[in-house]
Amino acid sequence: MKEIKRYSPVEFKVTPLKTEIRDHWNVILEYHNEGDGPWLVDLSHRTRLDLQTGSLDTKKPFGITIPATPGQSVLEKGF
Amino acid sequence: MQAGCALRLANTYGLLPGKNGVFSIGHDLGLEAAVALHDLGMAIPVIADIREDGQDPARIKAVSDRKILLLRGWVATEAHGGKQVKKVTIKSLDGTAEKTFDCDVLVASAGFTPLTGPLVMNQAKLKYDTHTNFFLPTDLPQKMHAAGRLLGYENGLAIEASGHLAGLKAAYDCENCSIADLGEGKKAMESLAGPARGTKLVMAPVKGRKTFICFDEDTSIKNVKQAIEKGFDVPELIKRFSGAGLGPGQGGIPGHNLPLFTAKYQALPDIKIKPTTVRAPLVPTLIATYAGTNHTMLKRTPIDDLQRKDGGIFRNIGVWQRARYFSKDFSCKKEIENVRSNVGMLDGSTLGKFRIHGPDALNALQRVYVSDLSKIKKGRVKYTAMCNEDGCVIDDGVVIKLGENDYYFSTSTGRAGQTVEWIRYHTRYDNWNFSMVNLTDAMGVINLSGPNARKVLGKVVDIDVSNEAFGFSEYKEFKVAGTIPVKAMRLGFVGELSYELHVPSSYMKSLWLMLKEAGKEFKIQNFGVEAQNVLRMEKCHVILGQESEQRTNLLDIGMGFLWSRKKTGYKTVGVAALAQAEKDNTRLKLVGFKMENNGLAPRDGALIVDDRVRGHVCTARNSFSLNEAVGMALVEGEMSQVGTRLAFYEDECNGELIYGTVVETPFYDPSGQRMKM
Repeated sequence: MKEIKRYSPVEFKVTPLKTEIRDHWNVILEYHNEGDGPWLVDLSHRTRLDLQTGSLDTKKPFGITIPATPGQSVLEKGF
Repeated sequence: MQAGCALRLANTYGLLPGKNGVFSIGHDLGLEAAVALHDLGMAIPVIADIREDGQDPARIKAVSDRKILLLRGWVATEAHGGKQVKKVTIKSLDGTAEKTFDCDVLVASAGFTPLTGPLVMNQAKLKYDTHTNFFLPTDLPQKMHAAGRLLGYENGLAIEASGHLAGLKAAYDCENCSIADLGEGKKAMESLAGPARGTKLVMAPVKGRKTFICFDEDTSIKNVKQAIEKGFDVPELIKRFSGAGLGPGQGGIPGHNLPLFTAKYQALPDIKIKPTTVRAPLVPTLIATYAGTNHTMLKRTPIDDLQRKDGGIFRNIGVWQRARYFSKDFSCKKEIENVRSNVGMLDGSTLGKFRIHGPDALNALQRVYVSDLSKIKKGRVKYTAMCNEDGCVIDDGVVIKLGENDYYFSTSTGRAGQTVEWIRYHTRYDNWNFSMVNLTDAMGVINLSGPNARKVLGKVVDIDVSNEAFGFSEYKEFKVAGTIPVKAMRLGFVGELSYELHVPSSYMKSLWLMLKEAGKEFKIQNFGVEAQNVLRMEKCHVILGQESEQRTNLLDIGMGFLWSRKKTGYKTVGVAALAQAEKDNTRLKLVGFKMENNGLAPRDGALIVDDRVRGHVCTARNSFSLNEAVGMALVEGEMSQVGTRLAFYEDECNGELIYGTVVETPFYDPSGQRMKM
């Protein structure tokens, strides 16, 4: 049987330096010659959750405050 | 060639547009161009200037110094030659005198019209000015101030002063300028040249020749006359009838000439007729923009590259690139025969895929789907359709009950992008509590089809896939190798034993390769969307958009069986219109037909005619499964009876019709045994 792998829709045309298998994803931790940035990071392997409610301001999933303005983002507690 | 182009070609690129140029002009730029090109080496036998007077004396002198013949009140009326101009005939404006000159280029320019576009777009009004012969802004909205060529100024000092005055007016609006300062600005303008004068001439004195009023759209004076004679008597209507002004020139020439000609042709006492409305973009798109890199903005499925490696020939279908064929035989004979007799795999990832959940999820589904979805049993697949308010069918797909208040449903590829909005829109006043997730890109789909499909699937899953355990129209969830979560449906779009496997996109490649490996012993093959198209057509399963058009309702295509008339209280979109249309026999009906005398299938879109058009072919192919040409067509109700002879008119058939007969449907496996095996 073929080895089960998960594939990202994104492919960077550079050589990976460090990789790690996580839940069937081949996660690339570092590329050769990454340079000083800015960088694009493929986060396809990360869990994405969709929260839908008529009262977003009352919700604090995983203790995170949801930004009041659509389009804004926060990075808290590793999320 | 226009005078500005000729000048730019010479000055910017160092190229003379010709060795011997006749000029036909109506503006000092033409004189300037003639002088410059003469000095660069072009011989100029004549300049025909539409204007009797008003030329810049300095430029007249420059022309005279170079001994170039200048004829005032003359205009070019005919260019002779084939691929290149050989000579040009010019005439006096009254048409009484005529001369012909040899040349290899005709440089023409009628001059500039004021750039009123930005003002008009901001609600300024234009009025024809009999002195300048231009349409000039007369009524600017409050706190809008224009200057320079927006107002028709061409004199450099006047342009500068008008800009200064406009600035003062704006400052005055902001209470930063005194009336005295404003007065000085106005006074400065008084001593300077006003807006330039344009020519009154719209067409040269020619009879029986084509005279164009819009060079972009090849609209001639004759076209405009035809429009007026048909009752389209104002520029806004003429523009829409004839196309004048709709080209990339943004109505530059016809914007001026069309209203003038319209007024003159209708013998209107004064020119109250206005130019057509100017719309963005005011600056035409540069050709360089079109010539730039073409960024392909199409979606690719998760197994796009695997199919390309297998020889897939891709086509753009909606927002996707899809494998349409897997060989250069575009009849797809092998692909079709393989599915009918063996097993094939198709990438169906482009299907719309959605989850809807919450206390009112069922209400929302009942609102948009014509079937009664309260009766879906867990583990069953319900095929159903959505209509618009007119009962016209817009989408079809399957709905599955995942759990209490939790449903998964699919839509056609083309509707996936609008589905969430459609459901939200049609439930906007209900304050219902439900959530939707568009999983179209998150999930891929593999169709495993053919009599050996069960054997292949059985090799990669741990569940019982026998017909008894996993029957037709049933739904199962399982994991492949304990890892890949699959939502599996027994469907029969292509008319054979089929499994539709919905899988997270990230696992699609792995599952595709596992199925390929499992299918090796059966010589499993890919099939593309054209093979699928033929297979489902033989089964008379419709593709919306192909067997339907905007006016086609659910009943017209024989899918009325999906409509639950007993379902009440949900205000289902479109059912009121369906109830009205039910007894209407004049509507187009979808029929199946076979060709006479082993004839070839007509092309998709071919017309069905007698003494008029009575319908059209939706899909028709030479069927390898049936060994004859069959197809589906939308025809007028009275022609939908089995046995009716249909005459097909194809493009370029030179009047030679081909014939077929309406037959019972489906063509292939009418009892449906093969997909239920």
